[in-house]
Amino acid sequence: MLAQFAKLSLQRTTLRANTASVQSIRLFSGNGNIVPPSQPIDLGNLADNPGAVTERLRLGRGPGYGKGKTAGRGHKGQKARSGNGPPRPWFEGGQTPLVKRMPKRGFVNQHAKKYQPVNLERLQHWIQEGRLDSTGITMADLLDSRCIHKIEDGVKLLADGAEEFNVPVHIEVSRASQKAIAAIEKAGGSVTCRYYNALGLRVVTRPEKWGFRSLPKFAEPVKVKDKEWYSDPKNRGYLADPAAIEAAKAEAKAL
Amino acid sequence: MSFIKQLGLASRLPATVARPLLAPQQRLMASYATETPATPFTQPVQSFLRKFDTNEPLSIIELERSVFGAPIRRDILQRVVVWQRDNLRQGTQSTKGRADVRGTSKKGAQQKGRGKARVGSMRAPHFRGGGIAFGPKPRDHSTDLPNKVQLMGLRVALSAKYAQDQLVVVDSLQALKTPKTKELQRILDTAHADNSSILIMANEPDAKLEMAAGNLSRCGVLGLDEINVLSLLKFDKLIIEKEALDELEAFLKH
Repeated sequence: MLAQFAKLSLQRTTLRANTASVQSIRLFSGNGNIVPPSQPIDLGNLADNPGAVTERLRLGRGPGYGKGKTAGRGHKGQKARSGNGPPRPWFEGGQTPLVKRMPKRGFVNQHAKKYQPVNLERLQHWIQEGRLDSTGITMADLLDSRCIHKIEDGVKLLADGAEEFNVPVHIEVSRASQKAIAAIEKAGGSVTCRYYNALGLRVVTRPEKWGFRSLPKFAEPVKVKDKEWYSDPKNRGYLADPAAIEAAKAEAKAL
Repeated sequence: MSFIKQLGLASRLPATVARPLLAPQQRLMASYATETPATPFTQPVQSFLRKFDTNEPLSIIELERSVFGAPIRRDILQRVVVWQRDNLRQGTQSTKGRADVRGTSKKGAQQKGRGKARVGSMRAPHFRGGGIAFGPKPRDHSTDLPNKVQLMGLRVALSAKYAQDQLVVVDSLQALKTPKTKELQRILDTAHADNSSILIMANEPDAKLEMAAGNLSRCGVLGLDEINVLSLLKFDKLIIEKEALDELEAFLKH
């Protein structure tokens, strides 16, 4: 019936071409449950939900407020003074705490990269279960299929299960071990190692985060060591000369 | 030019990175899933597709309910508008404190024996010509709003337009032949003849339209990539091209 009405009104209004006021079909659309709001929606009628915003406490601003004189801190003592928080977990009441009694040892390399390891046996298992499409695997696919659970600084392909590896797979990762490369190419696949910085990894894994904005460019490696590594055909780096990579592949095949 | 094209990632990412929207794992599961039953919440809403210069309806089109028939959340609109206006603030207001005011730093009077109050500096806030205590200084007023709330704001604003019959979908804006304000004025007066203010949204940037509307205070032109809640609410009616509407739907539906 509603469809009929819509058709009728369309016919009628088309007949009356050039007459400006045509009834809306909103009320006859869908279940007809879209009704205009009781108050018009415009810039003069906006408000947050009641109780959504809590007013800030104004401490120590006079007796009229109720939090004037001692500002809710009671009378005198350590807790009434400023700058005192609750004791931290390592605090031992003023006694030299354990963390200070023991000597420092070792160091943390701030520039080290943590690659997520993916072994060939796991990759093969994922492909055989249909959780990964072997024709073109990126690190984002590995993450989406939960083959890895997080990308820290990238993914490194490792060779556990290289003897049984027999799926032709085309994959792009941050790094790959020599044995893993050899095993994949022996099975008829290919590996590309590509450099991503933190921003690049985020673009690959969560492009929707950019929303309205255009995506940033992908960075080239900055460190000399990285440049060398990704330019080395042995590593199947993306900066290496394609002909050199082909030569390296042929050499590996001959062996 | 539009942001949705920018979201079409295939062309921007390296060839090996471009991938289908669904991971194979998800694709596998989707093939097992049965079709979702038709509920009132999934049914599309309908609208007329009209001619821009005469306002006469051409056909009936279906719109995504999650974009144009969403529940109207006044609080979300308020939050988005406040956020936008916060970010619009220049933050250049400035006053001079006691350290910035020009003048001597000499002690105003001797410390003792005067029978009056001590005067350390003549530029203290309580002196005439002194600095301002806790006055405004240039700063950034911008705030953050979760991305999902921003997108929800757009959905609510568009739904409000639809619910109030303020959404006019037109097939094309090409009916405007020249960049003359007079011609646009004539179209708006004859076809959309009421006193409401009008926001026109074209699919591609339209220099003709922008020129014609430049001097019409009741009429604004907005690019698809500039869409925002504040502009939508500043104007009563929204006249939008069908192609632009399709892109919006694709971006906002969920």
